[in-house]
Amino acid sequence: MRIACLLAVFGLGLSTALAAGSPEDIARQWCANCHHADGNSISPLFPRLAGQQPAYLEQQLRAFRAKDRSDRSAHDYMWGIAGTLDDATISGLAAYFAAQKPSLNPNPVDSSLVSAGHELYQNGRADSGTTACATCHGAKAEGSVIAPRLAGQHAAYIVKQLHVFETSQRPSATAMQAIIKTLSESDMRALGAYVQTLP
Amino acid sequence: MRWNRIVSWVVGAFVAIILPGLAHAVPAFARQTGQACEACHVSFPELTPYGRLFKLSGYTLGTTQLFPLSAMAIGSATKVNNTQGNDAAFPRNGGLVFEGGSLFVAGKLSDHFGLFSQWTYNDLFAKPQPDGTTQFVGHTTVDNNDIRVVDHIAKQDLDLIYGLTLNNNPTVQDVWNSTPAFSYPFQTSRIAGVWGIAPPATLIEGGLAQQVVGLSAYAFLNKSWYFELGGYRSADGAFSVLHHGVDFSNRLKDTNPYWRFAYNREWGSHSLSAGTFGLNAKVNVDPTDSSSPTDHFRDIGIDMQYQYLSEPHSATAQVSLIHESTDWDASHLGVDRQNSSSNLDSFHLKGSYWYQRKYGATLAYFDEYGSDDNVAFPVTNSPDTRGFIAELNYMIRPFWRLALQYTGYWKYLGATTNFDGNGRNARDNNTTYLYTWVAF
Repeated sequence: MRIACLLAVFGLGLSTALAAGSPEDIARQWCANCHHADGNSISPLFPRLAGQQPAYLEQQLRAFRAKDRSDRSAHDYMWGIAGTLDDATISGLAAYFAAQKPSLNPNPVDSSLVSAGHELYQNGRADSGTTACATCHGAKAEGSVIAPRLAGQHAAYIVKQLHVFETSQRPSATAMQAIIKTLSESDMRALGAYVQTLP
Repeated sequence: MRWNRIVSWVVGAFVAIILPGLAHAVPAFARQTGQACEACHVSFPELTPYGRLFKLSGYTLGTTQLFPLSAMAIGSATKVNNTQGNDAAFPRNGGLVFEGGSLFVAGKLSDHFGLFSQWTYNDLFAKPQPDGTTQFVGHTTVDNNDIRVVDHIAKQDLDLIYGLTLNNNPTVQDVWNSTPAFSYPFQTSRIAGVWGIAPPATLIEGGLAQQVVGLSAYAFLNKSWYFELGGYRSADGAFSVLHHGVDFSNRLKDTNPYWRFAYNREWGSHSLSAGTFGLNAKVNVDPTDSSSPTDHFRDIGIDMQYQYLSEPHSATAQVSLIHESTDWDASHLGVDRQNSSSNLDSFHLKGSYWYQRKYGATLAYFDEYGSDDNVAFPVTNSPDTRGFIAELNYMIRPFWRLALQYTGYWKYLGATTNFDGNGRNARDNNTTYLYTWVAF
């Protein structure tokens, strides 16, 4: 208890602070715990960030910091972390992960879904009014200045986020909130399986 | 009483100062990281891969809090299968009780220094009375403490977390839930303990908790290889605060080595660890006399943990086997031991399933078996105890659990029937434990 009292008193002299260290240090020491140091996360609970579009990473980190993006995982994991980041660090982290080399996703996918996903991704579907994903995300799912890279992303993460687009929890994704209305559950699973297999 | 007043004051100050500022009050680590309980815990206290790294990083991720304080409280009801008409031996049987609670000073103090310090108020400290009844009083003691100094080297070809841990319970510093301090059952009935229902256990399974001070150096290399070496001493002198309120039942003589090695691997939604740990301890025969002769305990454990973490399904499993060989001092012979040496093995296997980290079911098996001894166990000649635990959990909120736990004994202290010579059977000790746990 003496230690506890001393620490409590010591605590009075401390204040909350921004995350310390260079963006690369923060990436390797903190982000890496879930996303892996090279951004090629292993667990489908956490998105792969390697080679991601820097503008997208920056936009999302700012959205986490402002608590504009409010899906469950954003709230549970990212609000707290992004809240400690200043603008320069956010830009540095975005540049760090954008510069990492994406590796092929080693996790298994349901291969029976891949061809349907390929078709929908590349050509869309006139019947349901579904725009081809490639239009914004690129033919190789490499992303663009207006849309994130999807290649190699975990299928489970893709499906989870597509369901988030059914809500207003990611307000910046206005285009996706319209497109999602044209997709069925099996479409989402097929798209997830397809993009995960892309290099 | 003095300590009770201090704890009351600190808790009161905490409630008055901290809680009004928090719309969604969560414990200190969550406040520090801004992250949810589920980031670090499958369900408290079982750690996720991220939770393990948080602990190994010395609780230093996040931002230092002005008041790194948390608290928890437990209420419960426990019912024993059969009192054999002797209700006085089973006070509060089936009754609702407030078990007590803990205050935590927990979190980051600097980039390289953090701690987990638990202080527990027990509202069910039992005082047997001359007339055979039991009086319960409040009692505040130190609980688990883990104070760390760490550094993290993270480069392209090397990831090394290394540091020192000062703690008061062997394995409390461990990050896998397959070593004793944070292994299943995560919550046990205090009342069942008062009734004396407790399987035999090796020394490292709590026999030294809050009676020792240990310092060890550890390293976690490339998030795969874990190495730890250290030593434990009796928590005397400057470290007596680490056994505050806890009487010595086992007093260590000199410094006693502790080791831990483990391999950890993660792939997809899976994580697996396998390791070994141990303690080589000399314990004074008389815990009140540091110059008394010693018994020599050698505890060696092997353990494995598997976790599957996804949404909405999660599953975890732990297994451990601890082998203890003891050389008893000659003063025991014919008094409480038959032979000059004995063995005790402790096997634990547990599996859990969680849906949305909200609804959980756990099944566990335990088997304690050891050397025959007709002095220590005069009725059955054996310590062997075997049984299972089945538990259902409902997380009302991530920091508020409701649980129903059933512990069944197939064998108790060497026998299925009449283990005490007075007709008591192993299954008579079966207990049903309903509890609720809340942290804030």
